[in-house]
Amino acid sequence: MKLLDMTRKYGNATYEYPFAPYDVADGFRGKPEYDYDKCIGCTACGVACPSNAINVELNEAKDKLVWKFDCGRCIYCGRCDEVCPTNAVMLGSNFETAVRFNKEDLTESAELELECCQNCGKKFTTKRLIAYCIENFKKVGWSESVIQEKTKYIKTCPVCKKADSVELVSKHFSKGVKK
Amino acid sequence: MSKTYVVPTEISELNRVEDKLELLKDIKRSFSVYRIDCGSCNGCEIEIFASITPMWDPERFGFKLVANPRHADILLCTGPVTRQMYYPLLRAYEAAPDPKIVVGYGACGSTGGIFHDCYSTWGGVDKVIPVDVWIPGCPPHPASTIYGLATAIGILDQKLKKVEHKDGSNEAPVIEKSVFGNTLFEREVMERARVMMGYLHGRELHKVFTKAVSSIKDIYNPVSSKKSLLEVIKKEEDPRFRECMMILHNDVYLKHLKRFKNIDKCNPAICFTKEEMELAYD
Amino acid sequence: MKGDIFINKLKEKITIKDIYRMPEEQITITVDRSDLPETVRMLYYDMGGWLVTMIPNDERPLNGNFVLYYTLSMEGGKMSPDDELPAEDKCWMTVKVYIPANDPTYPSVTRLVPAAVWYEREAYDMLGVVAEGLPDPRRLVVSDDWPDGLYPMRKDSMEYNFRPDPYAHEDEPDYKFNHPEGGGLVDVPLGPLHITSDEPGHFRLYCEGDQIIDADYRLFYQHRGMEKLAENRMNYDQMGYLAERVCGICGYAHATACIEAAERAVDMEVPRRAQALRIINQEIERLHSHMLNIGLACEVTGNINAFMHIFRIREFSMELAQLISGGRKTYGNVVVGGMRRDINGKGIKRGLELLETMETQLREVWDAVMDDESQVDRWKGVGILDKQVARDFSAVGPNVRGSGIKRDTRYDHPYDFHDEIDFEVCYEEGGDVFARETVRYRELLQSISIIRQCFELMPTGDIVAPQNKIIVPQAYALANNEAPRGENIHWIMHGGAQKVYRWRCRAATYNNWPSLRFQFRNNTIADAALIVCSMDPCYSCTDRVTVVDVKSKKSKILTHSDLKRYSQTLKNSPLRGM
Repeated sequence: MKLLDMTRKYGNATYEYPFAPYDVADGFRGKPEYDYDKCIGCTACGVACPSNAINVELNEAKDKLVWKFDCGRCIYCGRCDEVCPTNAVMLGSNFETAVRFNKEDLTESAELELECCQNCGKKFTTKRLIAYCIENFKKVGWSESVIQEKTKYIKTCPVCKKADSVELVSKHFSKGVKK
Repeated sequence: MSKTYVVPTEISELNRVEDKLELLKDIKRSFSVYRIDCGSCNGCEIEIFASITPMWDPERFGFKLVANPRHADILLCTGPVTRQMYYPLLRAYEAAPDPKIVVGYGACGSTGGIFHDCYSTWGGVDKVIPVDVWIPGCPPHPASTIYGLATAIGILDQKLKKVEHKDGSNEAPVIEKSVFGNTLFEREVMERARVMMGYLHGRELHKVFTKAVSSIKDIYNPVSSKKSLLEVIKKEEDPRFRECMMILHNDVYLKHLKRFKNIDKCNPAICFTKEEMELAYD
Repeated sequence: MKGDIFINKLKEKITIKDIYRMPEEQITITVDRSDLPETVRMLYYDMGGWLVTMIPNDERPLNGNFVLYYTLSMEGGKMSPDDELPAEDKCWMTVKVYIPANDPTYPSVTRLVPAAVWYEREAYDMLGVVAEGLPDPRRLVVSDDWPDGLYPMRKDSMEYNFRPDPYAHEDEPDYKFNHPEGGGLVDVPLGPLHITSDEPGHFRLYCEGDQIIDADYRLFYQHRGMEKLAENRMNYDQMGYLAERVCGICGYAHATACIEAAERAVDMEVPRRAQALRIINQEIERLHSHMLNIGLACEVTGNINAFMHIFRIREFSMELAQLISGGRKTYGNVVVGGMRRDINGKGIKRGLELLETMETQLREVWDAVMDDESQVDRWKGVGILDKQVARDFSAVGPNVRGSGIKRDTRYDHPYDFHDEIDFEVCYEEGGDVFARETVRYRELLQSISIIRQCFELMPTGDIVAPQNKIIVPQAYALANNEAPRGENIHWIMHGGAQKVYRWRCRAATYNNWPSLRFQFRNNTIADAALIVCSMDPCYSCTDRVTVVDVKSKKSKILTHSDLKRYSQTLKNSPLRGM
């Protein structure tokens, strides 16, 4: 009987949803929202994602970097949000994510253009990432000559950088031997 | 890819999309759902359970859990389909009357989730049997569940659509100007804020603090900086933010200022003392 | 030093080859293969140890051997109030044995210490090391269609994502159940698909009339291969998210235990604020899990009204969880070195309000349930877990505390912020469903008090430790954590390249299952669901049930609703007329 008293005391507990919108709590971990204009293609989210819901890889023709997100695999941990340097991926509050008949509707993808290495001409990273780095150099307050030098460095692909530094080291090494 | 179940023609012939839409039209006001746990972590089960309680009450739309796949219109499958659950799942699938609607529930049910390539799973329900509706989430919120089932039977409209971004500019995103003329200051504020308050609240703290600092008239004068920051802090309602802003001033602002000026970091006129910090909680 | 009293006693009979301490209270002793059963037995029965985990590890790439680590929690037998070790002597003792790769056998410990049975069965499934003389060598973990002779956890056996072909589903392989001797028994299979329950598991109840004589079960329908996955695809930043998904209810406890094992192995100190936050998360989990269980124990016995009320109150704990972690499960929150999310002042205020509401309403509903005599009668005297059985199988959690044993890992081996918090270990005599549910109710109130204390004492400062520790390959440690169902033990051996070499996760229920058949005995079929539920494995398992009378060869298919109705009303046995 006491239970029935309780029922009377607390009355109707049902949420109105879906007849009225449901407000999620502050800081709710909903679907990650992607801002294409902010993405620089640094692949941090792809590396961090524990469930591989975000994959960043080259397209088949190897001329564009493709950022791919599969909402169906997302575990809403917010690692992408945490690691993104430009806030291009942020967890939103969207929970209405179900789809019917077409699984493709769960996916989102974005293409970014690639920059060529100034030495070997191979494509190695996105143009936006290079632009972002240069922009940062300026905001850090470096002088024009330093920026020039650093820009040259970041426009070289890792393979050439490695070759360059090997060359540099061996040059100094041979100098040392001569002396 | 290993060879798995192939749907027998007598079942697939009765399960064309038109048949399913016809069924959905018929069951709009009352539909029976049978739950199959294909090796999920139980998070999804609990949320299904929570969403059938009076708080969410899906019986308002005729949602009814049934005890037997033979009574079911909709099969609600959770979990990445473990090897051991593969056979029971197929038994239940074949037992359900045709046409049947299969729902892949949760991240695991939809795509295998974090277990998508484990040796003892098949990586999602749709790798084994045809799936019609996907409800992502890990686990899905009861509201997502209600939304998903309402979408499945066509009461609500689907909101997500496939998105493809192409041909954007090659410009870098905008970087705010630094108050010190060196963005490393803002970066360090962010880093320190995250160590104190995590990625979410830390971002907010960073915003509040940099806003406060940018409103300071003479950034190179630590005494007036402290005063104007104190004004902002007094207006802040949340004690934890108050405390963290003081720490940011001491640890990051003064450290950066030291590069321009010779100051004593422990001078109570320019830094926040221990006593002042304790006051933050009053 | 800690553990010396045990080592000295052991030395009288056994040669100890090596002693390793890291951290200080975790002592690993290496003994010869032939001394293994006796060493474990002495530690277990003579010195008051409880078997908490056994880690089979493939260390052939390191030293050419398979290695077994039997870990015991030294805390006293606890059969009577004074049968307990003083706090300064409590520690973890690990017995390590090397098993040569060319002869992967060892004498079974199970004959002397029954608690080892599942561990030894699993060691065979995963690594192919054979326990000689093991009374029950059937398959435990891997699926029935898994190829013989392929041992997933061997480093060289296969890729982590290798999937052998399944059988055609008409030729689904069978599992051999242990059938008791004698005729006239009714064979009642339950599962693996059910409606009330979550976890798939297949039960066979052997009955005489309505009485359950014995039971057997096939579990691990959910084996997914996480330990292998962790060694391969995951790095330390991602491990926590995988560990969370061991179990959807006590996921947070798993994540914390896993991360703390990694931290302890390199002796990393976590900031106090993060410690307090970890405890809050964990207690929130206990709140919602215990409410779920009490609610279901009411539901299984037909008290739907109470069930609905408890679930309504449970939503408050969900709100609390959203407040602190942004989701209804306290997921995605713990990282090596601390926490990912902080709680602000506003959150603490709201949290305290929620706790207040929850406490008042919980007291009301429990009062109302206790007022209902038929409900209490239905719980009393059912599914008794004998004290000695609990001791023999190293049961954990409310299960063991309901049998009058004061065993709680927060109290025996305090961790994190627990040194500043007052709490009482709740235990009840009786061992029946009623005792277990009472323990749970009292723990709910304790949890509320713990969270409140944490909120009030919340230390200031950072939530993540400075990243200045270097992972040492092959350093190992275990971490304990009191999840809602009992202690979770995680063991990590560090590897190179930001990955674990071996991660062993032992969930609370793992230690409770083997004793379940003793709880079933001499109860009626109607109570089977309630017993499973009160153990809180991840609830009751009743669905389509085939009843086969061995004598008359008649069979009848019961639906779940029949059985549930019978369980709820105790009238019109569906078995009548057979």
